[in-house]
Amino acid sequence: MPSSEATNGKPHIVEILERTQTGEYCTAKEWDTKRIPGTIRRILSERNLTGVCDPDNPVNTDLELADAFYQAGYGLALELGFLCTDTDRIVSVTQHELDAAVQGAPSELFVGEGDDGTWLRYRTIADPYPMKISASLAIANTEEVFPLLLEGIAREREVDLLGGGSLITVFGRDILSGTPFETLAGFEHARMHVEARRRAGRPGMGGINVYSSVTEYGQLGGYGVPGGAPITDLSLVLFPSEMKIDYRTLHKVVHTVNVGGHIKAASYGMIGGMAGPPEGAVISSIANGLLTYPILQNSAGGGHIYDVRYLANVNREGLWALSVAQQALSRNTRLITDPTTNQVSGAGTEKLLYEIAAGIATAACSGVSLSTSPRTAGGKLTDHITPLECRFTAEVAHAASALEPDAVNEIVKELLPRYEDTIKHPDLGRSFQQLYDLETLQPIEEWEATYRRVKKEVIDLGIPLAA
Amino acid sequence: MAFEPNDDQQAILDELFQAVINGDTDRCVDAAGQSLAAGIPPLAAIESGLTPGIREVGDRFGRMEMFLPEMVLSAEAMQGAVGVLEPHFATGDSYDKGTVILGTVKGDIHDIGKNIVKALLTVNGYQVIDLGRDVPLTDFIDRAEDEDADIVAMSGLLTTSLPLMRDTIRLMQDDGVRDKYRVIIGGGPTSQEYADGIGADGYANTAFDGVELCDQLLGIEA
Ligand code: B12
Repeated sequence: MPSSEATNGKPHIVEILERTQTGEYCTAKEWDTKRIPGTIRRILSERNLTGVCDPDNPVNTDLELADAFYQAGYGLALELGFLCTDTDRIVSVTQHELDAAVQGAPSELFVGEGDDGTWLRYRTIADPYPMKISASLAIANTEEVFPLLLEGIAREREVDLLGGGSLITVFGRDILSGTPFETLAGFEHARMHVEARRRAGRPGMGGINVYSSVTEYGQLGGYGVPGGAPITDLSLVLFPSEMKIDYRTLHKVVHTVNVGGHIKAASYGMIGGMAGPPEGAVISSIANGLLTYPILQNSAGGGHIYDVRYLANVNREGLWALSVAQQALSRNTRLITDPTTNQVSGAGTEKLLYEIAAGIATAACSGVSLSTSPRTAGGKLTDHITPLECRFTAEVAHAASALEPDAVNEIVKELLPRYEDTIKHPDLGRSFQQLYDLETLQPIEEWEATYRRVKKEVIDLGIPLAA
Repeated sequence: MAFEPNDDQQAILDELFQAVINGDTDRCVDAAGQSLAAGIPPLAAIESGLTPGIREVGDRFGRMEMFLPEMVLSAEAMQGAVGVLEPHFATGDSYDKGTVILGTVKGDIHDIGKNIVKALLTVNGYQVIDLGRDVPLTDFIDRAEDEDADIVAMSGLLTTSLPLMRDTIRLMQDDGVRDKYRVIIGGGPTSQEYADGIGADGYANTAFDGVELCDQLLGIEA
């Protein structure tokens, strides 16, 4: 029998599976409405972290405060663990297991192959090694647009990894989650993803897969299988807020371990959700990020923030929480982190570009290794995303990385008034088909001109983009 | 005839109001007991103490002065107090606006929007049966039948799960129970057009609009 011993103290996956059967019993209702909010509230108050969010300074510059949040999040991780909602059992880990997994996690990781591949590295605050971009988030796509959009994004040389798009049909049929339609869609998604990189002339470019995998089936069908996404791509494992996992999550983990891939696991700390205020979301996000290492065999991720009140994280509280959570992880671990930035305005609008600049500059100066972005139009509308804003996202990421938090705070304070009045009711802009020539995969002149104008403004504000 | 409280009774109503806002179930249950002892009609305790408190909570949530966990605690405190008062209702008294079966459709685990809808419907006087997330379509119908519900409310954020909303409505038709319930939908990719297309009775863009929609469908004055 092969050994299922822990490696250097990090629990073996079978041990984790076992805990989903034997851990402490707790219903999802009890977890959501009592344990999570009650424990978070108590920890914040014990550590005097209630009400410290400063919306007037959206990028935190008090790094000791970030350390205090780290300690609070670390405590929360050890106290709670993850709830497995399929069995109503809590999967918890010991301090030794948590420390071993976090310390043993990679600080650098090569994604992709050969010259087209990318090194992801642990970053310090204002680290000159650039924050990398995986573009974009899983915006729903029609089957016609999906391969063109992916090719268009892969052609943007500044974009480091190929991310998003998710299919809404497969061979013209509705994809029903959890059915063989999804297994088929998972494979088709991955196949087209690989093909797009080849057509763009970057066959070894790294990617994240499989965004169309709503349940585990898409992942089983598309990741690490012949003709699908190679194991040199990261395997996407998202799990529900706050701090809940299920057998779908673990199916994806086990499958990735089986085929020898690397996991990118993440979940949001939700401002306005059960974590409550921004401070609560920060410690929840740190805790869930840390726990992914011993429980979900994670290689990259942690510190996601989302504000459900705005469907974004480029509002003041969202940016503040993102900066603190990431500074906390950067100063106290050597993990490769990967938060998203979530915009709400649509493609073709200048506000989208301001929102990207604010979110990405905040992440880049806070020690983030990789950001999966942008989320054009809040991810709400099918085919509402274009490669041009992906290019802008990567340009800002690379240029803003070495800036200090106080400099970025001043820049973001200039940017916010340019978009925050419409966060609640954004202009959702136009679709890929409307903004791009589908033959040449080039943007229409008007969108390109808007991009050039905002780019100049952002340079003038102090982000040193190449003109 | 409207209930006119004396000073002592008013103090108890104020306590109910405050205990709901603070989300303090023990205090709220206590105050409910005191209100019975002080001769306040149970329905008046609800209408003049608890309801204004929970309305205030909903308003503060809307103004972003209060967060979801606090709103959930307030709703629980109110339910605790109602549990004490209800057995003492006069015949014909009722405070429930109606019963709503709520869940996120099969395949979909996005439940934060649904949780907000639940909290807001509860604080606005609906009895909400929460089926959770990833709910098989037959469960919506079975529970609606079991609970003699008024409204079936489905949440969905994935285009790949939306067809299940349509299928639920079809199944209700085939079962011959469609007309017994109002069916409403919400969540990211849904829209009024989609609701019309699948034969739902209503759609709402936000949880607040969802409460108005339910009131409207059941003919309740705001
Ligand atoms: C948070 C989130 C997650 C979290 C979910 C956490 C949780 N516990 O809910 C996690 C990380 C787990 C996740 C996973 C996935 N997600 Co997701 N996710 C989101 C995100 C960013 C926010 C959703 C949210 O919580 N919004 C906040 C709440 C408050 O808003 P809301 O749900 O719309 O609810 C409001 C109203 O709509 C209304 N309402 C809601 N329901 C109802 C019901 C009724 C009856 C009424 C009246 C009103 C109403 O009231 C609410 C309050 O006002 C959205 C993006 C977006 N713009 O929505 C993507 C999004 C929904 N996800 C998406 C995807 C693709 C996925 C994954 C498939 C990715 C993957 N490959 O793993 C998985 C699928 C998991 C699954 N099986 O469901 C896509 C869906 C695209 C599509 N094809 O349809 C979106 C749109 C992202 C995108 N495109 O950019 N996700």
